[in-house]
Order: sequence, then structure tokens, then C-alpha cells
Amino acid sequence: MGDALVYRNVSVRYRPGTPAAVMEVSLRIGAGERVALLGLNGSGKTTLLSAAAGLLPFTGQIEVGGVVLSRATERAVRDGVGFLFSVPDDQILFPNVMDDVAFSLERRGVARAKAREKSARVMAELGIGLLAPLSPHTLSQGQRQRVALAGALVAQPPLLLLDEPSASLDPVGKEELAGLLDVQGAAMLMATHDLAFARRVCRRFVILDAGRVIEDTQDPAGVARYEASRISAVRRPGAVISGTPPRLS
Amino acid sequence: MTAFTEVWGCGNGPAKRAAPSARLACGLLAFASCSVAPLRSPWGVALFSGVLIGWTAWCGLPRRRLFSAVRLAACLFLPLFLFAPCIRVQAEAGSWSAALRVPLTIGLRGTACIVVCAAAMAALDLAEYGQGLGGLPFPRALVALVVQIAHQAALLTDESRRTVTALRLRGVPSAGAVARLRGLFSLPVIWLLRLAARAERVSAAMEVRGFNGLPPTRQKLGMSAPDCCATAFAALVFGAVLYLRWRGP
Repeated sequence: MGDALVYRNVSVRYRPGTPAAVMEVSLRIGAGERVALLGLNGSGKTTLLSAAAGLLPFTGQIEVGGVVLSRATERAVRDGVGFLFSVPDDQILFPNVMDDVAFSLERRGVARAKAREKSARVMAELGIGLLAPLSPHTLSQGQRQRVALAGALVAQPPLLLLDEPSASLDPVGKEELAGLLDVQGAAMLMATHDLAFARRVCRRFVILDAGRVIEDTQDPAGVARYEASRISAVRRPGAVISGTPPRLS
Repeated sequence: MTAFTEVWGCGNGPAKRAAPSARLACGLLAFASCSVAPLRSPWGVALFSGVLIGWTAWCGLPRRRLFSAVRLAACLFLPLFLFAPCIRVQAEAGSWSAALRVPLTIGLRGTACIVVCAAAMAALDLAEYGQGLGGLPFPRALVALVVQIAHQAALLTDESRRTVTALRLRGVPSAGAVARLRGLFSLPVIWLLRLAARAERVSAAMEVRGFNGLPPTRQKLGMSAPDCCATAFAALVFGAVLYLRWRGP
């Protein structure tokens, strides 16, 4: 089976003349592989995810499911991607939960009745089956997160790009979400600060620092050591975090 | 500050049992009836009052919301009476009663229309509003636009509410006059910046989810016999209003 997502020397710069948010990143994610993207705030995690969905201009090459991402192919690429934004409100586009989840299928040409039937099934799996007739405005933050996730999962895309999927969830919700992601056959690239959740869901950990990949490991202990080193650096009086931290694995 | 979403669906009248499309259709007909009812004939006034009272009662508009709507209408239309002297000078008869009739008619119609809208909002929550609009024979692009306006307005008012709460918690209202003024003037800037950031994120989500501004399929009308009767009755009343209007006083 081919790779689900390939970054080749990808750099993203938000404005000309400013430092790149992501620099020369090369990464290969196999079909069905689950990868956690870790790093401090501003390290380029969300930028890397957005670039893979064609939301940001980049240099280098991004390949999604064997298709090279370009202006001409971005629509086809997005059809094969399920994206979860860090703020669920931004991606809920309809004033009714069922309409919003079913939209992901209907726009792919699935008949309305079938789309709603499948959406109901996915919502039930996510524990939000009873919310189907409600307006998203009446839901809690965690419930909105699940609605947004249902919209991303319902079309069973081969690649999931998840930006802080566990951010608004309680411990039970996190465990349920982890269980649900476990049974997804899709490849996953998940930006998160939640190390425990990352360890629960993913088998590979990529650490970004100042836009560069500084670590690509399958050892969760290496990730914990990285985090501990950054925290201890901050705790030293007068300490300034700069430069690239040492390889730890 | 009242949340936009709290206004929707707060009614407890019998209208709640009708299909969303029927409620919307009746609301539109009630609005049209109040807009064109001739206020110079006794029958016209009777129909105008009957529609207003009947619709408000059917929707179960809470008293607090009714007063809010009337207060809003008063703020909008009472200043029109300031033009009465100018109207008197320009009117052929030059009498005060003729001059006052103009702002009075505009005010009455405007207040009635605002109350009808408030009652319609009380009878429908945002989810039902989208469903109801989708079930009526309007162009899909128009439906999508109106639904998006309501949906995004709800999100923005929620955000504005949070901003106002933050200002309160940070002590702006209890600060000195200068600090209060500074807080007041900075509000539009904060709001506009947030608005721009949100617009950017929502447009990115729309792109990724393949939303091109149109709902993928038209919803079924789904009206039962009582719904059809209610709509037919509203249409009959509107027909009577139109007849009175054309027949003249």
C-alpha cells in the first residue's frame, strides 16, 4: 500500500521576509499509520496540517494518497481528507447537528436518506446520537468537538488531519475518542499537546521545534524526555529557550 | 446582554407543534399582513390587531421578549414624531392630526413587524429555522445565505457576549470615566479583529469541507394536514387584507 501523506522539503512562510513557520520538513506517513505531531506553541504543527489540506501556500511538495497537491488537484485531495480544526465552531456550518454531519456525505454525492442514516450511526458511536435534531449553539464545547469530529469521520476518508482533537474533552470523552480513533483504518496526523492522549492513540511521534522536525521516534519515553527537558529549561532562573534541543532518543 | 440563541425558540405556544416550514410560512404571511393592512378602515384595523395578537399568542412569545421588542421599536420609531412639524408645513391641509398620522402609521406598522419577527423567532429554534427555510420553495442559494447569516450571527453574538463579560470582569464599567471610554472605543477594534480572524478560519473550514454556498439537497416540505390548515388560514387572512387594501377605505 502507498503512503497516505508525504511532505518533501516543505516550507511555509506566512509573509515574505518573515521567518518560515515550517522549514524544509520531510515526512512520510504510511497508509493506516497514526502519527502524533508534538511541539511547543508556535512550533508549526497547525501550519503543517493546514498545508496538507491546501489551505496555505508552500514550497516543496506534498502528496496526499499518491496525488501531488496543487491548485488543480486540491479539490480531489480534500475529498480524501478529514480535517478537524482546533476550534470546532469554525467548521460547523449548519444550524442543525444532523445537517452538518450529513453534509460531508451529501456533498460527495451520497443520497440524503443514506447520508443521514450513516451520520446517525457515526453520531451514536461518538455518543452524540441524541443531539442530532439540535442546534450546535445549544451544545457544550465538548459536544461541539464531537459534532465536528463526526463530520470529519463520517465520510471515512483515508487520511485524518486532527488539530487538538482532545482539547475540549473530559477524561471519559478522551478515552471514548481514543477508542473510536483506534478502530479507524485511516492514516492520522494529529497535532496535540496532550502527551497521554498521543501515546494512547499513536505509535509514532514527530516533534517540531521552531518549524523543523527535530525528532521522529516510536519511543514514547523519548517524547516525555523532550517535554521534561523543555520544562526544566523554563524553570531555570533567567533561562531563555533558544536553539535546537539535543536528540534524546 | 441577551444571547442571540436565547431569543430563538423561547416561545411556548401551540405553534411549537406545527412543522417548521408551516410556522415560517405563517410568520411570513403574518408579517405581510401587518405590512399592508389598511389602518384607516375599521376592518383593516381589526385584521391588523387580530393578526398581531393571534400570531403572538400562537407562538407563545414570552412577555419579557414582547416588551424588549416593543422597546426596540420605540427606540426606532418614536424619533419619527420629531419630523411632525416638517410634515405639517408640507402637508396640504396643514393640520396636526394629518401630520401625526404619518409617523404613527409607520410606527404602528414597524412595531407590529418587529413583534411578528420576535414571535416567529420565539416559535423556532435555529435548527428548526434552517429546516423550515429549507423546506419552503425558495431558491437554494437564498436559503443557504439566510441560514448562514443566522448561524454566523449566533456565533458572533456569543463572542461579543464573552467580550462584554470579560470587560465587566476586568472592571471596565467600575473604572473611571476615561478608562470606561477607552474600553468602549477599543471594543469595535477588538471585535473587528476577532471578526476578521474568525472569517478567515471559517472560510478555511468551508474550503476543506467543500462547502460552495449551497445546501447539497432540498429538504422535503413535510407538512401534515393541520400544518396545511394553519398555512391556508394565514393565507386567507392575508388575502382578506389584500382585498381591503385594494378595495379602498
